[in-house]
Amino acid sequence: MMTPIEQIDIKIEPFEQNTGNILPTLHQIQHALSALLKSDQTTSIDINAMPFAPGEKQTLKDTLSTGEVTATLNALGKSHIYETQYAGVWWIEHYNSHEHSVGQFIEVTWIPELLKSQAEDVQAGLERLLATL
Amino acid sequence: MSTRKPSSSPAPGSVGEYLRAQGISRRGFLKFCTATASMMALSPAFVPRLVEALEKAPRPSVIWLSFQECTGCTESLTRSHAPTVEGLIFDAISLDYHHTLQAASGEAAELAREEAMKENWGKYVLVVDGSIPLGNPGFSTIAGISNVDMLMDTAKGAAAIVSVGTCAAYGGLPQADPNPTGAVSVQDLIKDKPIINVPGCPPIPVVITGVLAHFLAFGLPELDELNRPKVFYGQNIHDRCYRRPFYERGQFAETFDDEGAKKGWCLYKLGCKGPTTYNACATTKWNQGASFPIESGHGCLGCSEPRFWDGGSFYKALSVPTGDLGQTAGYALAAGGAVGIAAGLLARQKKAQAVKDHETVTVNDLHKGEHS
Repeated sequence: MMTPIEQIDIKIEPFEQNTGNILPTLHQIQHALSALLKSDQTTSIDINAMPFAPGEKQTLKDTLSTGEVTATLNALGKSHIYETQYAGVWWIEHYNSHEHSVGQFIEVTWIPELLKSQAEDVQAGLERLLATL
Repeated sequence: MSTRKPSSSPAPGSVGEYLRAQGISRRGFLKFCTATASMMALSPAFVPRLVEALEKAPRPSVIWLSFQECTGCTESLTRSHAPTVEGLIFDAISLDYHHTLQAASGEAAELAREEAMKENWGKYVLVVDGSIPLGNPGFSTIAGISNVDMLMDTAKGAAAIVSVGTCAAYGGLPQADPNPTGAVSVQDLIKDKPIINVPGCPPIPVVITGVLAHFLAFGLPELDELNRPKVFYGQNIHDRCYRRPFYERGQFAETFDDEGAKKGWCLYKLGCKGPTTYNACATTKWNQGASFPIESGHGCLGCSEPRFWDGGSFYKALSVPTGDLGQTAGYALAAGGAVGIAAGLLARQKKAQAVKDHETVTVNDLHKGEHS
């Protein structure tokens, strides 16, 4: 079986000249945070839809750094969700069951929707529990 | 304090019901829709719309025909990291005929195709990979049926046709000068059905499934003048390339091992066809989003553009198609006559009706729906 790229021990060095897309992304996050506070408006940014030079995504990740909350979701493979050093800014990375990344997002929200229990799952759980009583 | 109620059950026979039957939780379904929206190049704001649409969308019957091809397109899709989002989308369709993947062969396989056509007449999606030889019907046959006969017969009851790969979309490698088999594309032969071209040699797997997901959830995607979905083929590689700033500054690699190449400068002078190639490689990338040819230090070959094999050297800066186009143009013209379908008024009317039945949905339409 092919070794996933994440398991190959390589370090991508950022280019000396990058795309310049990190700063606009940080500005977008800043506006999104203001909108969250002002009007409760949440924002989601699809990281994979933006052109980044090798290493730039990591630079963005490092800039946002990590905050107080880290969670792992197990549904159709793992999802790593953590709050960055800026409260309300969440970094979300979805993986499939082979632990290959299938999507990366920045969500500016009070709490990511995926962390909340879903009413349909609560209903199904209630039915299962009732069946055991 | 807010209360939350479970949403209504997914429609019977729908994609949502299928996924729930696989034991996928609502949370898993939301994750699936988030990744699918990203795959479809839709803004994350459309995820709730996608959730709603997939809960109701019926599982479509899909008939997949492979003609003059190398199986690279099927490999691209099936070798993608299943079981995952693409895998689930692929599983969520009812793939009723695919002679490379199915266990049945010969008459039994053809019977399955005929039954699927009969049961889903006017509703099934026909996926084609490979070009169709008109030089001699015996060049490529399946169960003794020539490619052109099988295509014309199967296309009759299709709701839409997806031409996967550059061969099906434009003729591709088999059509390269001097086109020894008289290869033509699907759209050279079929004039009365909506056709979605998903070119690439091979196409990016998530683009193939993204197109199927779009059809499932929202109907026909908006197409460009070459019938390619704009969400994936709306921008050229060059405009989305992370090396674009080097182009702007006039910093080019002159050879594959000079200082410019080592510093990751623009590959335009080494023959990169990024400026004239429309595809999603620069953002969607390949191998689980790991990289794409330019990121690996090689210029784009332009494989999602018509006649890319005849564009001269891959290593010469932006060349134009060479060779005798007359022969291929002749086959394309003969295609219309041979099967009795000229691009006449009737065909155009039928196509217009078929498109109307499966209305094209643009990102703007989705946005409008969001606020309606």
